[in-house]
Amino acid sequence: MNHSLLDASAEAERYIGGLDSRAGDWLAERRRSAVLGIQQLGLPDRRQERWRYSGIDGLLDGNFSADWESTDNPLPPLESVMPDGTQAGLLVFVDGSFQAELSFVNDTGIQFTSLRAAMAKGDRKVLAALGSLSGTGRHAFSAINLATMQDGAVISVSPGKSIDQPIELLHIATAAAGGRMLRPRHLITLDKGSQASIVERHLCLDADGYFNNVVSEILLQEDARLDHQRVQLEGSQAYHLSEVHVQLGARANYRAINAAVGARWSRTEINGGFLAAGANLDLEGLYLAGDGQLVDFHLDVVHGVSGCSSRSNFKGIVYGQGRAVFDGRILVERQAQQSDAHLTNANLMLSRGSEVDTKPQLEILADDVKCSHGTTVGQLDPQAVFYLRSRGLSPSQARRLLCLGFASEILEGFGNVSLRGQLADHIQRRVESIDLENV
Amino acid sequence: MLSIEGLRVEVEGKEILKGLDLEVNAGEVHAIMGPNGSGKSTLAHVLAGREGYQISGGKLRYLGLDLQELEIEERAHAGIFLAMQYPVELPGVNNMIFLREALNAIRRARGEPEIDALGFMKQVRDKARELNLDEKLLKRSVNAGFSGGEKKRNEVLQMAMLAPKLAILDETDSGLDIDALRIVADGVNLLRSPERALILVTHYQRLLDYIQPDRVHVLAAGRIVRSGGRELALELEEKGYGWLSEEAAA
Amino acid sequence: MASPDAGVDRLIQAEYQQGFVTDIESDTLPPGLDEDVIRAISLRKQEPDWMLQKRLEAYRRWLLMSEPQWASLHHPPIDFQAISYFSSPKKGEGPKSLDEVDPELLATYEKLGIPLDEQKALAGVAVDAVFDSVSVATTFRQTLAEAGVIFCAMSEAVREYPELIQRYLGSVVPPQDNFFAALNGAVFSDGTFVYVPKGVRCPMELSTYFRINEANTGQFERTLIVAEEGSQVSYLEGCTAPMRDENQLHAAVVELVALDDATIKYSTVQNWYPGDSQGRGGIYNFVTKRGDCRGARSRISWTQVETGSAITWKYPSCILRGRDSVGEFYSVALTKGRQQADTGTKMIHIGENTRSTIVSKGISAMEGSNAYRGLVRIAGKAENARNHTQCDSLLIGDRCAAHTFPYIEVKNPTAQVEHEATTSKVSEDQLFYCRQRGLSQEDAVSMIINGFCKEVFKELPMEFAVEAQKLLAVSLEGAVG
Repeated sequence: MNHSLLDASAEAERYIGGLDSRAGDWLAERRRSAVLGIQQLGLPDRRQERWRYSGIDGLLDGNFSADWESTDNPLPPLESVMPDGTQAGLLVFVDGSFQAELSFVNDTGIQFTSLRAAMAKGDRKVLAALGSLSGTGRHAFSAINLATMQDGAVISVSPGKSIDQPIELLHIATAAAGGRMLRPRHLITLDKGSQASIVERHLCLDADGYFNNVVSEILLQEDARLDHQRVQLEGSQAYHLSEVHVQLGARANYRAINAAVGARWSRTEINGGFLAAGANLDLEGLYLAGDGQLVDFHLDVVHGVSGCSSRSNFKGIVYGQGRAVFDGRILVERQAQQSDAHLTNANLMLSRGSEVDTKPQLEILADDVKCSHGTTVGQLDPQAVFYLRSRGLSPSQARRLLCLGFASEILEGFGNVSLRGQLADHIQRRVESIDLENV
Repeated sequence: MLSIEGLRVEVEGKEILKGLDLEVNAGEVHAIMGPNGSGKSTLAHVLAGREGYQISGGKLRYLGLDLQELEIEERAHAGIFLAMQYPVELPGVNNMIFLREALNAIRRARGEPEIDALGFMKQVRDKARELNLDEKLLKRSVNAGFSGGEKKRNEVLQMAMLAPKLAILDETDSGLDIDALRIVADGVNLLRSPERALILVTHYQRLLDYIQPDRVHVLAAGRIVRSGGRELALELEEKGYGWLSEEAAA
Repeated sequence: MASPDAGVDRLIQAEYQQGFVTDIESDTLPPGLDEDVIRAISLRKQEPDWMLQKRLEAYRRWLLMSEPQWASLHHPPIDFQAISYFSSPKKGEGPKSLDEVDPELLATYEKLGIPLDEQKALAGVAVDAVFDSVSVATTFRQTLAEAGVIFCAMSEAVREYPELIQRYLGSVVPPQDNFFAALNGAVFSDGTFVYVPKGVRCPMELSTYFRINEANTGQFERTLIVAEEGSQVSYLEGCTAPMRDENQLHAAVVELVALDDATIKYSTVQNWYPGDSQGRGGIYNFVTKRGDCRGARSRISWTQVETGSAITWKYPSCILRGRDSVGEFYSVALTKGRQQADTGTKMIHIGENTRSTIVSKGISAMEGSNAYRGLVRIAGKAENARNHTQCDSLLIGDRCAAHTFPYIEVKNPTAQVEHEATTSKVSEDQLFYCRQRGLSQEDAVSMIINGFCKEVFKELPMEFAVEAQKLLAVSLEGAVG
């Protein structure tokens, strides 16, 4: 319990002390309660049901510091990781700090401020919304984020506005991130009847051994529609923890597609809830775990009101010393009649030494509902491999094609073509290079 | 046999049938036609006693009984059979066992002895053959995984076995190709008898080429707006329902 | 027109059919548990010292353990010192034949339809009836003895077959396994021992009926079945209990050992007192059942129909050690009133080409809560392991709960594991359809429920399947609207 990560509270206190009066007591109060939360929640351990399959020893050994001030090192060249195509907005975060000079917003329907600016200004509306969906969190890491948050994106889309081009949230970890815990926190609100699409990338540029501890709170008001494409391509020694909290108003529609292929250890927690009937939550995911990686997805979809639907579909490929953990929970509460909730998880194991732990859960307290879940663990169909080889392909080529086929159902959901291509290339490159004899 | 007077029915506060009159005598075949949403299926379900329909006015008499006094199964015991437009699937419930239980429940209610297993099997097999219903379907779960045509034939098989006095066929022709339609119609025609009445609820007159009705009624906006002989159906075929709806509205 | 609930309320009032108390003087230890109580139990059962030592070892481990909290169950704390750990019908020496058995006891069995008499014998059912804690009658041991099958009370086995008991007892479920298994290891009262020698196909279905009778008497049955190479045995366990006001704790342990090519089929119909409509009384059923497929090509199959008890905590499991061994779990669990069940299975694949099948049907009615909790683990060396799991929940009424908690852990890339779960309700359309064809509401419900459970019922021996269907119908009377 006396791990240095918990010293984050000291960092928080230091920051609270440095608050100027404009930020008000409100933020200090919020940070203080989060500091309490850090102590109360404590660090996760494997005796906790939600952490049963994901140890954090490596993360603790990393001794990542939660220092507050960002370093003033000059930025390395970032051209290679900047996105192509056109965007309605590009918001760049380097090592967790917003970079105004690299960013822009081109659409009048989007209001944007950085979290740092909002906190400095004492923007009451933003401050009140912080933590309103996440609470203090379920474990010390999310409380640490709230206690020591430094920057992030505060985005809102005006009522009835339809933003045609994507808004890109680009996170880049540079060499300066080494040894540190980054703590971006995003707040996204889509007002009534608005529509937007957000592409969120987590990339790495020559960084080693950092911990990216991201929290996003997303509120969709009535009839709003958000398409959220998330890609985690962190560095091979990185630790990544994403917590997404989504609340949907009446008839709102949230579709998220999550790809987790990078990082040494990554965990994505998606918490979805409904405020009124007619809303729909659609979660998709794709993960690839090899080379000593652990990829963990936790879904918590709560049907607390009647007449909403949710669908979750996650697929993963594991090989080498890779481990995949999937924990998908659907809760339908007593009053949530006419809920429609389905979840599937399919896993492909390519080689010895890998491991899949999957745990879908249904908790149903209402009777007039349609709920199901299904999960599979299997391997490539030997018949299919044989067929491709009989047409002249090498075993590794056959494997590459079949894995791509397995992943395509999810990949096709990426509306952003360059992103889709990048992911497809990444997956193909990695699965083709697996040395099945020596893993 | 069946006498409906001024029947008014509401579903969730909305009036669907608005004063419907109908007389059906033993031995007769009546066709009830009408556009979508006119209340045809409502009428069929109300006769069978389906919950969710509030009868707000009128009289329903059947063989001297007040139908409203009877539970769903009591109506079945009294000889009312509804062949459904969308027959319900009962996973895991064996088709034969279901039919035998139903038949015996009806026989018990009428004070008749239960049918023995062997006699029952023979009867079912014979009827299934007449309806060209694959015997394998008898061993499967009720309607589960049946094609649309198989479900309809299974309905007619049940009707043949349960030998109702008043059979109501709700859109039995929907979703059937011409061969299946002929088989189903042949099955129904075999059941025509002086003691039995049939009500065919249908959107299209096509079925009436195969099952000749004695009377044709047109239901529009919750009322019977026109009654006649078979020629009325042909007229509808030609002109559509539009002119009748206009008449009803006028 | 009557509401769909018509005729249902009156049935909800239907009281527990098996609820009566047999008035026989019992020889009961006062409540409480310490080493002296364990010594007293051992002494009364005239056990050898090694057995006493085993009990004491289990007790000492139990003291260090705490009650599991992870299940989806809620009940007031159990006071383990308020329970009496031994009770036996007072008759001095055990009866030599049925004539010596207390007639009132026999009458009780008659009422319950337990086949103790000659007719049932001719029907091929041998019975080792456990009344409270001590076996009072055993039949047909002659026929079994001719085949070389041992079928006797555990207390007798401890005295008569010490080498087998020492070798196998606790070899599948060691006392340190869990809190309730440790408690059972310390205080187990009696139970059944079955031994089927090499190559023998047991000539009849073996059946034990359990019955809880004495107020505040914990039942701690211990069952051990050993099937030697190439042997086969089918074991039926059914139970029913008289009505009681106070919660009764039951913590049985069942161990199965199947050697090369052996098959054990273990079927249970459990209908203990579930408590009254307010949830008062009712059995707390904490059971550890585990089968060890030790031999190649061995097979263990668990089939259970669980309709009773206030609390059910039970995960009949298979350890698939032998290559090509097969584990099966077929379950129907019904909870109504205030009943809670957290039940499922564990399939631990260790050997090559091991296969397992799980079919779980949960029915929740009224305020019943039903959780399936299952583990499928494929170890790193389990080449070509296969598992298929189907979990279906049926909800009846809007105050019940159905949960599904599967855990799937795969460490071998040749494994194929599939898990599916669905939730459904008895639909109004289905009820209308059946009633339109002339069936009563109750018959329609029972038919739909039996259809839902069919895949499990077909795994039960014929006469048991019929009983199970009846039991389900009786249990559900009044639960459906």
